[in-house]
Amino acid sequence: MRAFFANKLAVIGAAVTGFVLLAVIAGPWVLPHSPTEANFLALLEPPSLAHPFGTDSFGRDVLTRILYGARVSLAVSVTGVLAAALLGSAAGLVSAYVGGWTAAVAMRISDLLFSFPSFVLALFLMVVLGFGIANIAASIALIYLPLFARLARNMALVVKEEPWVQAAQLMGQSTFSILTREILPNIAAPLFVQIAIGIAFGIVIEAGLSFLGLGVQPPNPSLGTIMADGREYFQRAPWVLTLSGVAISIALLGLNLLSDGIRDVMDPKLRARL
Amino acid sequence: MISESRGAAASDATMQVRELVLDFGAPQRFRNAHPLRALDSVSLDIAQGEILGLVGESGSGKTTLGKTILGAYKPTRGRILYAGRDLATLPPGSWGLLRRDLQMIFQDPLSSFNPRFTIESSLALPLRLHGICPKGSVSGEVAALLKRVGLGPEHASRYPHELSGGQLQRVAVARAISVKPRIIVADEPVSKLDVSVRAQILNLLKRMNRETGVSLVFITHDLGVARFLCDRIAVMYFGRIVEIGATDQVFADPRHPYTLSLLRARSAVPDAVITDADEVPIAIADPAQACNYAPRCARRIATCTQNRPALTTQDKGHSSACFVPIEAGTAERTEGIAS
Amino acid sequence: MTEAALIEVANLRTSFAVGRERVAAVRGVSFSIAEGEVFGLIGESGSGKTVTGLSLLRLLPPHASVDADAIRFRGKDLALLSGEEFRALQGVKLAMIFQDPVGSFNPAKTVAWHLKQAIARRRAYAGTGEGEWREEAVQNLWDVGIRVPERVLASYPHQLSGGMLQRALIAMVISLRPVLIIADEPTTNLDNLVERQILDLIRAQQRKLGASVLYVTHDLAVAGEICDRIAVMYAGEIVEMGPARDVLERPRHPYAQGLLQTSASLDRRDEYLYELQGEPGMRGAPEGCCFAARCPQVMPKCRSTQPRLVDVGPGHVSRCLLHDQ
Repeated sequence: MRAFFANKLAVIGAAVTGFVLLAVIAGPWVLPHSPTEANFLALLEPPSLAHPFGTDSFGRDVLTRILYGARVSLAVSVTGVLAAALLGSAAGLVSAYVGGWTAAVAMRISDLLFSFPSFVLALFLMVVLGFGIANIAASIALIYLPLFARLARNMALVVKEEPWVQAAQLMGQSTFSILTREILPNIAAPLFVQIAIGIAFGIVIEAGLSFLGLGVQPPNPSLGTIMADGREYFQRAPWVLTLSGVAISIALLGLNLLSDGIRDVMDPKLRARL
Repeated sequence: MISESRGAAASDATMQVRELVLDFGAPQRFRNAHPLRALDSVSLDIAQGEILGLVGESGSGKTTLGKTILGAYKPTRGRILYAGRDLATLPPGSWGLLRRDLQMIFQDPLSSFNPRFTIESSLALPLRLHGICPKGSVSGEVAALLKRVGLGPEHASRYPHELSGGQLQRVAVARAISVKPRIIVADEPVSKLDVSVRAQILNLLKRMNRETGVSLVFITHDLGVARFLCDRIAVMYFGRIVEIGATDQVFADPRHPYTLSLLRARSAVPDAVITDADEVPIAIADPAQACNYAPRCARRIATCTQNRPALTTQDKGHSSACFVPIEAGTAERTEGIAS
Repeated sequence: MTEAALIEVANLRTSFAVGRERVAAVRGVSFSIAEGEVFGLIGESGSGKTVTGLSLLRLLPPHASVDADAIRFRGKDLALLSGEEFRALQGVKLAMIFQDPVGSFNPAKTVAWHLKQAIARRRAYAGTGEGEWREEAVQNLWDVGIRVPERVLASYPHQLSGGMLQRALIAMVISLRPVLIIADEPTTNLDNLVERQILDLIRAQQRKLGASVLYVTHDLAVAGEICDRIAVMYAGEIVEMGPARDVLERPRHPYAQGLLQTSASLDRRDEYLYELQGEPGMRGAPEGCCFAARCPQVMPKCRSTQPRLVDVGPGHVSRCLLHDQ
């Protein structure tokens, strides 16, 4: 813990992420405006005291829409990535330890999925599964599953050769106990880092899909739809696109710094050895 | 025939290993690579309460043999008879209580413990798993175990990396004896420890053996240590036992040329080693039907490359596998084998 | 021996920066090695024996700090040499054999490449021409007992066994014709038979080259065979030093005595071995003797007074208050 706070970037990352989370969770209750109700008297107004980020083409407060949209993006991304992490890591762990034909087949399928560029895969999945946020979460999960599976498998392959795992086997511990007690805790750190990174990318994917109109449908806000709207009216009201873009960037930056920080802290530190 | 264990008839032995063969790696379809034969028809008995030494250099198969009798590897052929069952063919799921009886101590103490759990946790797990003591008294039992191996209760809450090699190896002994086993295989338990700590661990092992009657299979390349600790010694060379017998006899009166080389290597006798400096390959038609020490042996005769020597009794309880064994009494007294 | 000292080390102190603290690995070590002498440095983990060797050759990482009153090589103070001048000496006049031969070879290059480098380096230093290096390489390999030199030259490090690789390393070192060889536990990882051969080899080559050797080891028996003089180290200090025979057969310091007793009780096959209590490297209070915490003959004043090295025989010193009455 102490080591984490010593790493300045990690602390910044944690702070930014924390702030973003706070804003996203608490913000909508604080702000008076509605994210979906149109107000035709205040179309495309520049940033002001009443509307810190201005209004969009329907007169809606951009800041409120961003915060609501971020809620959606985060919820979708976190759900998808966590599902991928749980299922993928479990698959990787089991395939590394148990091996055999099923493991080999599973890894080949995983490689296949992995070979598609994420966004192309996302588009394909949306076409197949249909639109809607649940399906976005499912797509994100499917995109990230192979990554976690391979990561968990590679690390588990190394750890399972360690003497303490052999000691557990000789002691008669069950396979489940060996997987969860002896192997999993010793491969968890990089998985956590990957979760943080995954959430960041998940947000980008969701925003992209919504931007194209395949994700969250109007009038519901999503970071993507806000940006789509802002792009259309960029000449007249550049603040919509700019500020929503900046908002996403800050959130992503925070998550990336945080994940770097976790990685630095959990890596075995090189101590001077006499 | 198979050498007899200390005082008891062969059938009284706790564990009987018969013609054990272990090949690593199935033969490749596309290449002619021969599987590596780590154990080549190994037979021996382990009596209850004895300390049996498995001595040899790297590649001798001593560690593989130790792990195979515990069930870590599945033998290609042969039998491991224990408690009325053949462990060689027992499916992994059917071992059940047998796991309690057979324990292991590893060479590197630090990596034999899960780094994420405390000593207490690592010691409590086997106690709970095998129901050694009632749930409430697990903590107390852990403290008692630590005391028995010479550690204080303050070590229980520490993590493996906070203990020294010697202390961790004591914990390893504690873990092994906690389930009241009948046989413990110790794989070079003191090789990675400092000299002054070795004595502590060796004494501890001896005490455990004397106090509980647990059999110890002690794997080492260090002859001095083997001579101190072991009642009987089996000398291994590339997967085969080349000599086996009571420690005193094997040291005082070695019969196999390899054993003699090993003994002399540790003494200050100049030019003591009876081998060639580098192996110049000699033509052997079928290695399986030849003595595997022949390429290095200065006493080699024609039959050594054409037939495989069997373990033949030289003396009571003392056998060696050689067509030209060292004659009784010719070996100089091997003094000065320091640790 | 009345020859001039090849290496004189006076009050060597080496410490490492660990987090915010400095940890001392070597605390004021002084010794000298004569020309052609084999000097043994014996100790366990935490004794500082390896760090001492590395300090002499400036092979420590940046967070280490090495300090000494003087480190003289043939009378010249090494500290006065610039980095470049020192590098010229390093490897040619002062060579090192490491514990693990694998780490001393570039895995992507053949043995021939390594030997060629070593020979070329020595020739560049000596100012002699390039010439045919292969002959010399083959001869060196033969000298270290390799009977198939051509094959070994063409091999990569991973194709050779531990023993062969260590021989090849020794061949590389003798190509340099060094004046001082620091050998850090060169036989620890080797099997018994190979170890015996390598030891004989080192001894033979040392005599042939007339080189001095600083032999670092934890193994008393090995030290006894190969060393002329021995220093026993504990927790960063030299606790006993003298002719090998004297130190190993009649040690005066309780630590050295303890090591010998353990070894003797192993030979005698006592029922239980003589045990030194405590952990290696365990220090007593800073104001007292470094061995006080483990010493079977400890006296009250040992915890408050630091003993100096006192004479206990011809050329034989020991750091213990028992002798310093």
